[in-house]
Amino acid sequence: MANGQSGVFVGSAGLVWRRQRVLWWVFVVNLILASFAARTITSRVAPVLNHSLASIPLLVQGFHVSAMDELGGPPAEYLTVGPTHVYYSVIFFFFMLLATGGILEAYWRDSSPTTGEFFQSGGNYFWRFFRLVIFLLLVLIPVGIVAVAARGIGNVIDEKSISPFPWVWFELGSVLLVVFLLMSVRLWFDMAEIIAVAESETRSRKCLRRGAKVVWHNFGSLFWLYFRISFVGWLVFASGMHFWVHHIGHASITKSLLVSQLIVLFWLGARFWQRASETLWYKNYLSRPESESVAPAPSPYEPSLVASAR
Amino acid sequence: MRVAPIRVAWLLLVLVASGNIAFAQAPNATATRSEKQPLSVRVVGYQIDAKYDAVKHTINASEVLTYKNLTGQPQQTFPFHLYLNAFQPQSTFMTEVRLQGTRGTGADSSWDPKHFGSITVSKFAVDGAGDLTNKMEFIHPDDQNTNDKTVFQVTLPKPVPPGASVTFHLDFQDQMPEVLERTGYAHDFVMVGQWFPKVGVWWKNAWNCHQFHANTEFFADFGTFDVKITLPQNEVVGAGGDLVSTVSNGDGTKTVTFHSEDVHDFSWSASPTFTDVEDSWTGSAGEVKIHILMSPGHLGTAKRYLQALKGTLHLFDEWYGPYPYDRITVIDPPHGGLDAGGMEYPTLVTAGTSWFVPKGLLLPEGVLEHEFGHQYWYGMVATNEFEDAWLDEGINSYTEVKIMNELYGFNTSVVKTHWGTMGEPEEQRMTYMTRPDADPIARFAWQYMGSSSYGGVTYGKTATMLLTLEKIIGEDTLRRAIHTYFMRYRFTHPTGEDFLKTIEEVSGQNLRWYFDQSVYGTQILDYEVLGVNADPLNWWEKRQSRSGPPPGGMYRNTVLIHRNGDFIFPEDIQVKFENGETVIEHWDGRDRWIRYTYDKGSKVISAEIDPDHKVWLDRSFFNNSMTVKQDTHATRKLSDLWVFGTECLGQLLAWLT
Repeated sequence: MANGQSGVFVGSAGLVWRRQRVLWWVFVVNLILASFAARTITSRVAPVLNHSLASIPLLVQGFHVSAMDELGGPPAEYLTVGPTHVYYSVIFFFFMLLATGGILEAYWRDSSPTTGEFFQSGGNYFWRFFRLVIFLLLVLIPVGIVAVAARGIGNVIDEKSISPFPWVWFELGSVLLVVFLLMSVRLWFDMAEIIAVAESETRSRKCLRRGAKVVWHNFGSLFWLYFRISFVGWLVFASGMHFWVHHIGHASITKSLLVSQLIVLFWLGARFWQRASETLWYKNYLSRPESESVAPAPSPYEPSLVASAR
Repeated sequence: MRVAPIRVAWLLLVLVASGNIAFAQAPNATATRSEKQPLSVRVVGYQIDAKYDAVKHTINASEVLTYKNLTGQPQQTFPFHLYLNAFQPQSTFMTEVRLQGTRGTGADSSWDPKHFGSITVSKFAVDGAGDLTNKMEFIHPDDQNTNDKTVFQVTLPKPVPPGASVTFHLDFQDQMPEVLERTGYAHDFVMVGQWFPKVGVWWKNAWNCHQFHANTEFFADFGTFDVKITLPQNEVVGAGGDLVSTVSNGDGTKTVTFHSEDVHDFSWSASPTFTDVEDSWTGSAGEVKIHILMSPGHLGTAKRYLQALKGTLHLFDEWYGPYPYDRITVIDPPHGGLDAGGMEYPTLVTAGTSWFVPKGLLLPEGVLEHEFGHQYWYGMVATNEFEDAWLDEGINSYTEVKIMNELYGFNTSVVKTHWGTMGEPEEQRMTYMTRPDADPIARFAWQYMGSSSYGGVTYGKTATMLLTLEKIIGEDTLRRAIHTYFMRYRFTHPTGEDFLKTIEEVSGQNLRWYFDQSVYGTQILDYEVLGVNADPLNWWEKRQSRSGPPPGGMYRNTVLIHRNGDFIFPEDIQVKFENGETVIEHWDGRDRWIRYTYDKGSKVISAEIDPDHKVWLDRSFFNNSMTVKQDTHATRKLSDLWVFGTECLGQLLAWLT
């Protein structure tokens, strides 16, 4: 089992590397949308900064907090640009909803789809995955309740102790619990999406039930796989931020942009790696004889990718 | 530095003092201080015997106040402060908090019954006049709020002649609130400030005894304090006085006795969980014993506190004058008790930290420096904090800038991280910018538009005004002026004019034009470069080539400067040309605009107002300069950060898919 998991861990990284085109696609779309979002602020600050000698020593050669405050503060409030960036992030969210089907197809088939095939797959799965997002939001409600309850208990602990540490440790523990719950829920829904693609299952609730069974019976191995990749992602993100802050000079605008984009790319890559690993894991899982008790045989009425994969 | 965990301190003290147990301050061996020449004119002498109930958070006390009538005229009516009565929903203080908020409390805040505080005088007697308890009447000198009980007065049967003394005997009971506004309890910690009936000050030929307001602090006469506090034996006590004795009462309580002189207030704090970090520092007036009472989970900050405190003591001693007391006690409020933090009392200050404050955020250092600075600006130069708040908070914010800059760097004295920096001058200017034109500096503290205006103007604008003054009279001259002001007015109650006249006297300049605008006015200072242009002198003649020199080789360069605000200030303008030539113009700044014209063989490339960056009052630094050629680095940097932030937000949302 351990060897198998190790194979999935490394093999799925290879899968992301082989099918990196989809990763680049998504990254570029996010970058373009974010660039559009930044146009508003650029147009507001450019007249203030581009011809001012103060902009270079305050913002470029040394990043002064007060300079940002002056830009953002009254009366002009140049940094107040409304929720444009939120709108573009929501657009990216819907793009990802559309793209996820194509991404999973690419990983399931281990082939590079054409643009048309990619979006055709995305279109095929869009409403199924949209429904899954609705279910996910419903499932996140109890997680939110846990988080709110933990905050309430934390406040009580906070009020009762003269030392800050009981609260600190409790908060740390509750954050870890909530993160664990979020990861578990995501793992479950990831698996439901993979089942939808692998078995061309159109019924979202059935995907969720099967996903739940698979995750329930294999939680340790699946969570360990998911966690390890998450950990690598966090590590790369933290290291990237550290490198950016400590080793890229304030005046190195291009290097700064490059590093920031690499951070975004690796973060996205880690998420794709999780998708690929879960897909690969599910393929391996279906090839195991004991999996039959959980995964039903493909329906003869539905042309199945599973069948072709076998 | 010696860190003495309380258990070790217990053991040592039991062994050494045979019955004398945990206290934060060792009895002062040099108990002959009272034999020295008094530093102040001692108007009051307080003897207080207090018992603290650590469960109910109440204090039962008797007070003997000897008041020496140095007013030069007979006095028959005496007003007293009862500050703790401010913590009641219908008080003037709470009414103002509800309207405009105050430190730590927002406007429209709801009433929490735990915040109830009170002080009740159950007996008021006067030597020679008997019991006058029924003669006490609450007065409201600042408003018509009859529900406010923070000031009362008593008229004696006969006046106290000039030069004579009168002795008052009071019994009073305090109910401490859950900590807010500098005072109260949190868990088993208690900060006891403004806790006893305190007589008003005869000032400017009248009694000065204001009600307690949301934005005001305090004002009192100098004198001596002999205070006995009986409290549970396990309490570690810090107080604004020399510890005279500690006596175990054998009933689970102890009585600690403190003596303090040439001060105008006495406060104390206690908690069984304090860890006393002791050290000392020697300045020009002798040794100063340092006690830092650290709360649980905060011990990691003790070293930072100590470093900041010693550096501050040293620079105040060197720049402004000696610290004459033999002690300074720092109270570090516990987690949940931070509302007691950031406050000053004579020889005792409260600081503020958390279980984790990154080294690059110099907040604990800044707070402690500021509160210690009040030993000079409030403690010794005892200005009226009700009416001239800028003289303590504002001058103190300026000296905070100078000292923090010296200790931690000009651009890094508030934030010193790899990602960004901020210095004290910028922080003070930022505070000022929050509400720059609502109120003048010289305004009674409770008459400001709101707490943000009070904070922004009293602290930030005064500091920024003094920083800008350095450009006019020089940094060294201003330092000498402040030194002169301190030495001349310590242990007195100077006015704003005393301060301003001292600056004029030391600098030898008439600065009324500046003070009228910056101290007494609300004008905004904002000059901008409106245009920088280079035009061929013979513009009508055809050029040989687009990039070549114009016909005749000469340009008409123009620089247009505009005064945006109403504040008139002489400005330097630096104009730079392509050939490296630099011209400095001096403009009196009076007109609304001025245009400089230069006919030269070289094109102007930039113009900058205040090239030395000393006019901190200027509202916008970005419009102080203009370049012909654009530089998009700053815009790109901000834009790239925005892109990164939006991408991250997008990917977080995409996690749901």
